[in-house]
Amino acid sequence: MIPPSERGSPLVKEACSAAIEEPKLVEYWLGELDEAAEAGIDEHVLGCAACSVRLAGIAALADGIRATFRHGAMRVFVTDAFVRNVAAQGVRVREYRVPRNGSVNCSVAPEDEMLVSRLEAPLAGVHRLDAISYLDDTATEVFHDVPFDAASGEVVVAPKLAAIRAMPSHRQRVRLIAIDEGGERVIGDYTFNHAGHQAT
Amino acid sequence: MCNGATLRYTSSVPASEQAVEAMQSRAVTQPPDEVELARRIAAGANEAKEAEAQLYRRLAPRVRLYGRKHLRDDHAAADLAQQVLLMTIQKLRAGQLREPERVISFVFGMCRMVAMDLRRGQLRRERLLEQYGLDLTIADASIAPQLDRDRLASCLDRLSERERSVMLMTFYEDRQADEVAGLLGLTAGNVRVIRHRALGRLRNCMTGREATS
Repeated sequence: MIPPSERGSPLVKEACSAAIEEPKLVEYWLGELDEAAEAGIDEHVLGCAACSVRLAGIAALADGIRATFRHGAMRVFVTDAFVRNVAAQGVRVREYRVPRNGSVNCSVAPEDEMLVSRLEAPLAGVHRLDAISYLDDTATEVFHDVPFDAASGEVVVAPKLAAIRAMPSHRQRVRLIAIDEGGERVIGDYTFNHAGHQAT
Repeated sequence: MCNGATLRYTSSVPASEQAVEAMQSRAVTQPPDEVELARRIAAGANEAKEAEAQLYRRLAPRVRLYGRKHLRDDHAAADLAQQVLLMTIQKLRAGQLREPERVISFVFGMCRMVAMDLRRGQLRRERLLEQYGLDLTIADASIAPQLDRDRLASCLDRLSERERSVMLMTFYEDRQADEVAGLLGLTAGNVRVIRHRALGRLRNCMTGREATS
């Protein structure tokens, strides 16, 4: 039996008959669906309070991830193309390129919005790469299975800018290790001699 | 049910009585749906003004989401929501929407049309505002949950390196799986799997249901 308030409203009733699964909502949000499927979800979400709230949650999460990254609170391995896109949007990017087994003197200025380290490495044939971070020669973190573009010959990492900005002068070393069936082999060591920013 | 209009039945009462009880209960506790609000506006009854405000409050966040998705611009999305709902309410007031039960379809059609106009840069906002006036209560158009940014940063830290990279590259610029796959040397299917797993882990972490991996 259909309650009186819902009689004659088949479209609204139909629109809310089945919640859309989150993966589908994500695909919709990112524009991965074909035109017909997208139009179907467009109309469903307009008529469905629950699905619209869930979609708003996905949009809010996307906003939150962007904000976390922009506030320098996220360490993430990226690619050259990503860095170039971000810089093209007007973000002030400070980059340091470090040769294999080399070092670099580095610092962060107040106006910097993104910090990028490019670790030059022979990555042909490498399928899995781990990184170990040493702070003043003490191993502090291990990053397992870091993403990289083997063809680029570099590993690109954006460290947490906010944390580095707050640190005094220090030396950080990063070791890249390739993992394969034969075991582990060191790809290279990279040393960052960081000078804490001096306010003028 | 998506609208949260849950009907609860007990096994000790005959089905017909359950339905009547549910209807009565619903009539007492459930707010009017979009169709009922559209009918009230079209009828021009005493409560039409309040119905307009309610319809606006209910649909504005959804239309704004539509705008964000299709226009990728918060200001354009806000413009879209205002234009679409002003036109919808004006049509209802004037009795020009002959089937109020199709109000969602009408809104959807208006969304597509106005979004197309906004994309073309043919902004009609000023003309519409002049024509219809802005005598509606403008509601807060946000329905998104407020995220705890510190907690989100902590939850992002708990993801694997690959998950974090996929999430950033996906949502920083709302990139599709095949684009992210191209950047990271993965397949699109692999990116979708990583994305889905990462979203689940983030959700569980944000709601405190996750043990650290």
